[in-house]
Amino acid sequence: MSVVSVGAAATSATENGVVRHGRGSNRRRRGPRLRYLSLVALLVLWFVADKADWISADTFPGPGAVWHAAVDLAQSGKLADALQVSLTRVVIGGLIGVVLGVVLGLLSGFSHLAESVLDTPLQALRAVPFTALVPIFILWLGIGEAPKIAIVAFAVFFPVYINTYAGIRSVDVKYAEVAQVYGLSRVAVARRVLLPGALPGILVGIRYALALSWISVIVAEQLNASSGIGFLLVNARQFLQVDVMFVCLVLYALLGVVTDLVYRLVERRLLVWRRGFDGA
Amino acid sequence: MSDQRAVVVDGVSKDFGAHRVLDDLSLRLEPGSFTALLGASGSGKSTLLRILAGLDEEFEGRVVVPPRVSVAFQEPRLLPWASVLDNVVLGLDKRARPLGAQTLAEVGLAEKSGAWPLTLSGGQAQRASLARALVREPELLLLDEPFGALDALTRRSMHQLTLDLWRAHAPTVLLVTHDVEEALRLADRVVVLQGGVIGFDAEVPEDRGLRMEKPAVLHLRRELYGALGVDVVTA
Repeated sequence: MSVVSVGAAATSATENGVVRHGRGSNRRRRGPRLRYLSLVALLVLWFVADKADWISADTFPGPGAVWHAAVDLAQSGKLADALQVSLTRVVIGGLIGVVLGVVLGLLSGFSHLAESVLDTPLQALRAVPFTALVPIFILWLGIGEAPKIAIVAFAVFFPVYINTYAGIRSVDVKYAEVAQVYGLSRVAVARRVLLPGALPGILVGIRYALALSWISVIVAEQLNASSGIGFLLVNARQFLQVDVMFVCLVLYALLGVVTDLVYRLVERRLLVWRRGFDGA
Repeated sequence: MSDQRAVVVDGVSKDFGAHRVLDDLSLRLEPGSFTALLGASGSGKSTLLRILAGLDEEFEGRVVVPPRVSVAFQEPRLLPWASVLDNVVLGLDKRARPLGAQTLAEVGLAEKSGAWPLTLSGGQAQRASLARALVREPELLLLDEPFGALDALTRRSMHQLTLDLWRAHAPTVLLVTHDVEEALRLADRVVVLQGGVIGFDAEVPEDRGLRMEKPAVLHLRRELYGALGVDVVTA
């Protein structure tokens, strides 16, 4: 048997055994490049499909038409208005939902009393789809900003609550014992051990919640609104402006990507101590 | 230290379900002594240590421990989200930080004080764990097989470090281990937990540095293996 390591990556079986060649240390670069490449390929496919008339411009406009519609919307100021309105709702509703989710999740995680009081009703409430609440919230809160923000907050709350709670409960009891041996107060245990230990879980909840925040704001804006991206989409449908509808769809996709990018930056900063598996 | 008090275990019993792990066990550790507690796995060594550490309060009987007790666990149990220095001074006043840095230097980790625990090697993490235990100037230091997971070379240097620290800080030490050689090399007294009580109790003769080849120690070694139910072929 012989194992030889040189040059570029390759593994081959010979009669002497398996030969492994090292592939150097630059392989991390390939991931992101591939990621963008596949996106570009999708765009090219869309472009070709449009030019070759595989898709009908009436129901599935090409990239050119969508781009022009986007430029028109931008120039008229409608795009910026809609974006600003939706973004405001997402930020305010999202903040309310995240703060409530973290606080109640911490309470349920820390204390059995809080858990028995809070958890069952919240689990029951979780089974209610937030879409079903839109008419109720309109009834209760009117047709202004409040019901939209409430819908976003409601949608965001549950993944944050559940993951915070689970995060606290998953903190290794070994660390809690260390804190006990060295006489940390309850507050210090919460601050130094339970909260940082639960942070990875909390962040998973927040990441999930960020995606839900955009979905929920769109739903809220489609059912009853006179502004925002959801309104733009419903309005475009009424006037059969398929290109504008596509602008909205692309906008959602972009917002989702940007939101996730921001999230990743924040996560990387908060979890620098982790040396966990980072993907192959 | 003059205010050090003896550790007293007085008639302690502990059940796990129908299984009685500790059965009316009594033991006294003199201030500043270094005792190794041996026993087959499942014999209740760690249970006794947890009772002394205050981590297990569901037992019968009575234990008396000094006010300041530190533990170094089998796994280093450093909080992965806190820097090495923050781990060492966990739960202490901000003013303890210089002392924490000093203790890290004492265990040879001065340059690692800002590092994340997950970047440390097994030996380094165990050193940090020792520093965390010692920075509080404990009167009783409980060591729960802290060298078990280390490679042979690292273990030897940790043994030396442990002895140096014990001499410098003079805590009463109870070392839980299943390693007879380790017990004989480090301790001045070895006790064996058998059937829920101390079934074997002996002073280790001779000076630490030279003792391992001495006939009296070899004899004790054979007795210890016998008490642990292991037959060893002796040359």
